[in-house]
Amino acid sequence: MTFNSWPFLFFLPLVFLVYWGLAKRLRWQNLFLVVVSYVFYGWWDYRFLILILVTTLSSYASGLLLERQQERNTRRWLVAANLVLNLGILACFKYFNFFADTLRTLAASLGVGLDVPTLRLVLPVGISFYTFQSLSYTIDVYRRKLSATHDLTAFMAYISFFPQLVAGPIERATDLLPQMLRGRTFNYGQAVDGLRQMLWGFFKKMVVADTCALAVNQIWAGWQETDALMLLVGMLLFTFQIYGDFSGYSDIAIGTARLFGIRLSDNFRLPYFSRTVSEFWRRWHISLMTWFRDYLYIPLGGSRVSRLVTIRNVFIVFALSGLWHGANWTFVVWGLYNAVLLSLPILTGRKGNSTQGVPMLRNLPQILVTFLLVAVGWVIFRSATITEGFGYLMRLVTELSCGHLGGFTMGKSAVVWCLLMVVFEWLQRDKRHVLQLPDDGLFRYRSCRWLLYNLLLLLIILMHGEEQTFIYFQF
Amino acid sequence: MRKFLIRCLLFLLPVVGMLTLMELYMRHLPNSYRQKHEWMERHADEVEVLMLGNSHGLFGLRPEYFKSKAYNLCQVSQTLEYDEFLLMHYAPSFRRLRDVLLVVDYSGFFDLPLEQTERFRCTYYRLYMDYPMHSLWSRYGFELTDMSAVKEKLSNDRMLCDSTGWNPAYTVIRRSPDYLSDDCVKSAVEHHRCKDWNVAAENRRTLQRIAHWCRSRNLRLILLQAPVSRAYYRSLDRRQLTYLQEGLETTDAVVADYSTDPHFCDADFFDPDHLTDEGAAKWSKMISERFQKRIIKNVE
Repeated sequence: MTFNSWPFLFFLPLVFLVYWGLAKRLRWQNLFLVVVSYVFYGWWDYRFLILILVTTLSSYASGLLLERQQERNTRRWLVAANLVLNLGILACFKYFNFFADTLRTLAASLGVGLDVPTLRLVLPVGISFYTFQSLSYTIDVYRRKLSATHDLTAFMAYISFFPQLVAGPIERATDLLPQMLRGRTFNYGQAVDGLRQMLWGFFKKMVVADTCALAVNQIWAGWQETDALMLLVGMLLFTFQIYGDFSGYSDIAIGTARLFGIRLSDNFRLPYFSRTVSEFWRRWHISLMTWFRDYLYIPLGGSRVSRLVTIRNVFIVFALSGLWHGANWTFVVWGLYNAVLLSLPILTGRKGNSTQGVPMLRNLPQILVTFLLVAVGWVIFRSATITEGFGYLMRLVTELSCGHLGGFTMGKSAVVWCLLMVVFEWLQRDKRHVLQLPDDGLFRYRSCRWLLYNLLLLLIILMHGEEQTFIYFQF
Repeated sequence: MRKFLIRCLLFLLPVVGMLTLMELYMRHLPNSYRQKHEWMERHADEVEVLMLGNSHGLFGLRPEYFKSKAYNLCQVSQTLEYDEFLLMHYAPSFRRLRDVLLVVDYSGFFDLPLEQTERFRCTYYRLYMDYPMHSLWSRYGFELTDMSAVKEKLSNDRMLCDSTGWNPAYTVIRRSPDYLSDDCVKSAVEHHRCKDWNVAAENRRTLQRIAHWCRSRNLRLILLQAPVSRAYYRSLDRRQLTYLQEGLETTDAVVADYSTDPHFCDADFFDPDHLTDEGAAKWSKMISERFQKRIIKNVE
């Protein structure tokens, strides 16, 4: 089931009512959450529930064993076994064919005919998200940052909590698990705020991203014959599409969770208003980037080592982060491209002090440069092959330099929606989300606030683009 | 909690009210799907010649030129799946039906299912013609789920038809001056380029089912290939054309291919692959005359 599907329209109110009907019985409430989360996931393909169950039970058991075990080496073996199992499942379903193909190509280029079998496997939706979430629990218990939980139901609810199960935010056990273990009471303000965040999320996904997708798909399908202007429009629209799609999903997930009295961590903080690339990566897919920071970058030495080792660490993190996105070299190249961008200030020794606080109009040149650098990276990310990605960029540059601008033939409505989103987000850039309206001026009247919400809702219902699967489901 | 639920309901009330009114208004507007359904409900028992197919049939077949009681049940982009449905749906009412004219040509045979291309038409079949494959509680149950269709319906008369089911919108006066330009031809050909050969294979099977059904009811099935402009025909994919011909010939129905008929010149066309009202009159007369002669060979 997806947030933008009809079944969810009936699923959510029903689950909401039953959930709060069980308000004073935490165990039942958690059990109910597990059941509905499994229904939510199983709606897509129930066979893969077994993978979630294996991940959950293995992490739960690892936690308990780690807690009982004091001997350091044994603890190490336990955590390693859990990592191997969970990353093994991930590798098998997501990367097996990729590595097999790469090995075959490599062998062929050396003149060796290698017969590596390929598997016909469907990629389970959200496997990278819940695998990383369960790993964070085991590692935190191993590091003694968190005590192992004995409550299996609460732990299952933590791993499978439906709003964030398939596309994040990747929640840390230290944040989400305690919320599953304590009683929750309905909070009017929190629920209303959740609905507002959902509304904005739906607008970003269904109006902005899905409208952009139509033009982007067409432009990408014929990029070899497309003129410069439309190639540029395609690049910019995809930049907004992926943002609207993924941050929209995160907003809906966070908003939905708030309806259930659960606070999820922020995943996006207006990344396209970043003044540097490093600031962008502090604002984009925050839950994944902090995961890599805490469990990979810092253990490797982080930035408290020599410049060269820091740069090495950045390259490792971003290459793996690229690979996390999908089994394709385009993602790795995209990750490395970002690593290069991030390494430049490290090499020159420039600190990003100017990126603190809310972006202002005077930062516009920096914001635009950062935006363009990021947009170039998205071209590689969007392309099916590295050749296509670089071909697209080369054609864009060549056509621009030859003055073959061409006409603005598609994506006009998408541009309008993107502009509307950017304006709203700029005006509300100091808020946690766009629809946290100010208490003064026109919006102090409920009727004005409701009018705006109603208009947004109508826009979503009437002006949404052709339904598209969330891009990050494939990751 | 109660306050929250009441406020949610109050908040949704104006939106739901407005959407309901808009949906009712859209459904109230006349459209050819409802027109044709209502006509068939009342007169299906009188029909002797039934015309099925896509826009080539909708704009190209004029029942008034047929001596027998004929009705045009074609629609824009109507796929064989829907042709089959319509035939079966009204079958219990047919009393005098003798001939089924089915336009099966290059344009329709390779098109992707309507659900992937013009979803709003599925909504119309569901809402106005009782097509049962989609639920009313899905996106196919509401007109407002596709604003592009709403805009088309509000601003365009391609959604209407006359009392014989024919759509008179493609007149010479309305024709664009560059109706046969290279770009128009290219875009028309590209529109019907095969994107999925499985769809074509499924269409073959559907066609065979229709043919089998007609045979079992002692009905004559005539498979028509509509006249198209020469420039358009020259640009067609030969592999697709061959596949189409083979598909038609395996049905043992009467095949009448007008795609390269020399009686049609560029002036008869509204665009590269659609006839004008006058071209339609010419084609309809030609088919009618062949009826009177009674076709004796299966493939002409």
